[in-house]
Amino acid sequence: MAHEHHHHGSKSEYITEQVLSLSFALAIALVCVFLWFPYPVSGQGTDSVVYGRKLSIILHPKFHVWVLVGAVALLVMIALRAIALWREISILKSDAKCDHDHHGENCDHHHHHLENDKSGQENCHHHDHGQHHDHNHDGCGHDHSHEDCGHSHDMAPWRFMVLALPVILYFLNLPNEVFSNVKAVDLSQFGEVGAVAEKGVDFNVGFLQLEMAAMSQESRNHYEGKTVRLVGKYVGEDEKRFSLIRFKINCCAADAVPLNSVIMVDPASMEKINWKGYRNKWVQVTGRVHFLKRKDNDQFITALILYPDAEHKLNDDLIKVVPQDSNPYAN
Amino acid sequence: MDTNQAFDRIKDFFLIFTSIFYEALPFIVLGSIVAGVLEEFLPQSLVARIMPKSKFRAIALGAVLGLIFPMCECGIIPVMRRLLRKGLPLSSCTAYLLAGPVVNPVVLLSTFVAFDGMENATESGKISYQMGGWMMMLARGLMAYVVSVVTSLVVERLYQKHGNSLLKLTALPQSKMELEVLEENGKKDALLVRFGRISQTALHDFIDITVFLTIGALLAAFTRIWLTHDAIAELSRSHIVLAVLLMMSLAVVLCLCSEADAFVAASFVTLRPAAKAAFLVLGPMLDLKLYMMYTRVFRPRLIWTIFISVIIQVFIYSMLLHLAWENLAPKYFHPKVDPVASGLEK
Repeated sequence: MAHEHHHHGSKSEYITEQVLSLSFALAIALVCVFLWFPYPVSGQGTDSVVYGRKLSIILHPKFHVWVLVGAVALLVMIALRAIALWREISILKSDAKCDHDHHGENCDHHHHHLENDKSGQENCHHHDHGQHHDHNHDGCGHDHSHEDCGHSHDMAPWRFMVLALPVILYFLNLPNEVFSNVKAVDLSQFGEVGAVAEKGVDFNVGFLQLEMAAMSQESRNHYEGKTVRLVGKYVGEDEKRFSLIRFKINCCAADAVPLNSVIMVDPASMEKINWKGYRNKWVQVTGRVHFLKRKDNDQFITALILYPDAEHKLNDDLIKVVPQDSNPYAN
Repeated sequence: MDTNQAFDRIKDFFLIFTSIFYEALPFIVLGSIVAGVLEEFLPQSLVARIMPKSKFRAIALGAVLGLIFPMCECGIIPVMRRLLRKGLPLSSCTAYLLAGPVVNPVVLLSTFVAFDGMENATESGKISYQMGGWMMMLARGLMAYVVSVVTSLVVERLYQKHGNSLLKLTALPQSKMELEVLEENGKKDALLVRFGRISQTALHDFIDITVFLTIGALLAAFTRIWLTHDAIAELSRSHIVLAVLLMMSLAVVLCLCSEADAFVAASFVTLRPAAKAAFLVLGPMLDLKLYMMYTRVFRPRLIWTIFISVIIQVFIYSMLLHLAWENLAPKYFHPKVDPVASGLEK
């Protein structure tokens, strides 16, 4: 076998590689724990501190616990492996002191006796000193008879460079927000806005409810005209309207589907949106629900119509910049 | 402005990359630990005793193994590699690998939930005959089962011709004698030593597979940035062959977890159901990150045989499903809903 030719090299190579593997696994496990760990997102120093997790940006809450479970399981494996490796190393050291050639021989005859019967193996153990039995399995034997020797050449440095990527990203604080590159809704496909009658206030209505509400006539009738408050990302460069976007995820950001709300200023109002101050920021919008019908089919899209008055100014009251939600997705 | 946009794209790229990475990671950890435990505690003699002698039955059984050992497509790879080393026939392992991530309770349930109520969907005021939860679950499960069994039969023939040269060194079945001796020896060891060995196997598998998960997730994120859902839905609206092919390429590119992909498929509201089924069957068997991970077990000849067989079958079955569904559904299928209040989907 190839490894016999440079056995001395592969021994220290083996240890270096094992230690490297352990460190990278440890780094990844710790990053998982850090991602999971809640930290104060907003309201520091007040009574109402909001806690969030970095994981919220990339995963649906139902997966958060799995990341923690995976990290803990990985930490347990690392601990067990570290103990075993430490013992291996101390045995290797004492071996080296005792009789150097003996070790190489041992590795050789290990392969022999695998093909031999068990009695042959008993023989080996006779002239082993006490600890040798363990070493036999840990260092060379067992399932690693092919692998340790084989894969030490496999474990090239580039692999560790690849593994470092997620850890580096974590320390670069990336990703730190949901999708940045989003398009506004194309309004040319929708009909015009008429007057929307006021029908009470309901600040408990969320993005997802309104999106669903657009699907059926019954729910459209129910929500039409209600004054609601939505939080989402401001997309658009227009003085009279913009899109408020929030993503819905079922598992992770890779399966995100955008939920769009069109926001329009009351056509009768003279006020203009100061869009430069809002663009791509998280905003809270207060307005009346209206459903816009597509021209070519029966689909509707949810819109909020803003009615500025003396008490509620358009900029800074009806449209207000807020920090990104601790859970930036609608679910 | 342009540099800003480029910066946004890079941020989105890392968002998609990390989300795929951390979603799969816990399941790779768990899969690796299961692999370690199997390696240490599952006697090879048991594997030999349980598996049916007939190759066909062994394959058919391998394809439903997911019902008992549900594993997602990321976690299944280390487990399968250890089963291979324990002497489970390659064809049964392939069947488990391909069918396991679909034919398992968790994924079938999520498919049902994602499509439940879709049968009432309308388009321009008329029932559009989409598949509901039960139908889609059945179509997906059956199609995945057939695809994996047929592919495994092909793999079996290939194996008879080329033998173990199809496998990477680390996936080679160990000789019977070797294993027996090792297992006998292993039993004598203290528990801590055995756990030490489990951790060694688990960490080795974890590092090994995670490297390729990382590369796969990078590839997926890269392609994802250049493709939007709208672009796909628009293109596929008119022609079913195009729609099926597009959804199949999308499945390869998106690299979604088999538990999540049903929700994404369901979000293509107007797409014909056969194209959604193609997406749902192909995704868990073949995507960029899986390809990278397969290279840790199989040699290229085997990988490409599996891929070609899977792609051809998924395409053919989806077209057949399309013909059958579009002709039969309007005759035998009458949703009892008021068309005005309908259109409810997830």
